[in-house]
Amino acid sequence: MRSPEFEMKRRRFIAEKGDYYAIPVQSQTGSGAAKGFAEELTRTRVDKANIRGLESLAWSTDSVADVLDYIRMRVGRDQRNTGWAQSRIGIKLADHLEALRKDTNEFFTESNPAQEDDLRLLHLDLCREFIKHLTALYEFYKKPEAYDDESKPL
Amino acid sequence: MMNPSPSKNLHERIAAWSDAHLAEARAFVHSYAELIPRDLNNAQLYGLANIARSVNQYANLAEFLKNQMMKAERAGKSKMQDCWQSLNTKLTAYRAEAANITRAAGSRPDQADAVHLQLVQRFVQHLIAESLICAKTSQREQKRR
Repeated sequence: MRSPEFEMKRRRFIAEKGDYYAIPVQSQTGSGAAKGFAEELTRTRVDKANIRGLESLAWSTDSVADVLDYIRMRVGRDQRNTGWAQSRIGIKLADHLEALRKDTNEFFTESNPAQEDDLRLLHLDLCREFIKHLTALYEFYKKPEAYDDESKPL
Repeated sequence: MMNPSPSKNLHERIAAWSDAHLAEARAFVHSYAELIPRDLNNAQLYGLANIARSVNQYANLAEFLKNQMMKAERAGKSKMQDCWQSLNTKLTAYRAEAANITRAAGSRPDQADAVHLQLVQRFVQHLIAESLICAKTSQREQKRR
């Protein structure tokens, strides 16, 4: 069973990664990826229901593969290439989520896996964190007024 | 704290199995990429997924796969026949893994067949996702030519 310290450390790691996914910081390469995807998705015909569907699936499944399959199936079904298939956005998102597996090594170099399934479950939680930010940012950028407000000088 | 129930344990083990077999499903689709989307189309894979979801024992699904194999043979589609045959071999071989999962999760041994079916459902879901992408890619390549 996981110790409370391990659990705390794990939660902190996920939260830090969440910030990294959501907020672009110039000195951190690759940061703000969720924001990038959210902005790009608003320029496609992917609608709120699709994004919320992805989020609910991510929180209800125990399998990363289910999340990847969900996106890839939607890419495949997008006959007009105006939604998930536009500019390969869906494929890029699925690949990005799959690659979050690498981030789990960062955590487990310091803390040894307590259970055989820990690596996989951490990957799943990182995907959930990424999708959580993606959903929030997508909804924000989907509203045209949000763009206007953001571009206004403070 | 309470120990996780066998069903939760089983559910997690099936999810872990599913994640671990994603690459294998993708490789399977790519090895028959030339059949997509003409011979191995969505209807066939979705049909397989429906059967996998509706049957209550694996033997019925194996019967369906054998039928598909014979149909391909009668139509003279040897590559398609080979595809169904190797899928049948692969899916049947998961029987042993299903038995291991059932045992490790502390479930009753007579649940192994139901677990086997769940593993097959997950594998077929991966096949569908990958074949849709494969079809999309080949469609794009055809347009480029």
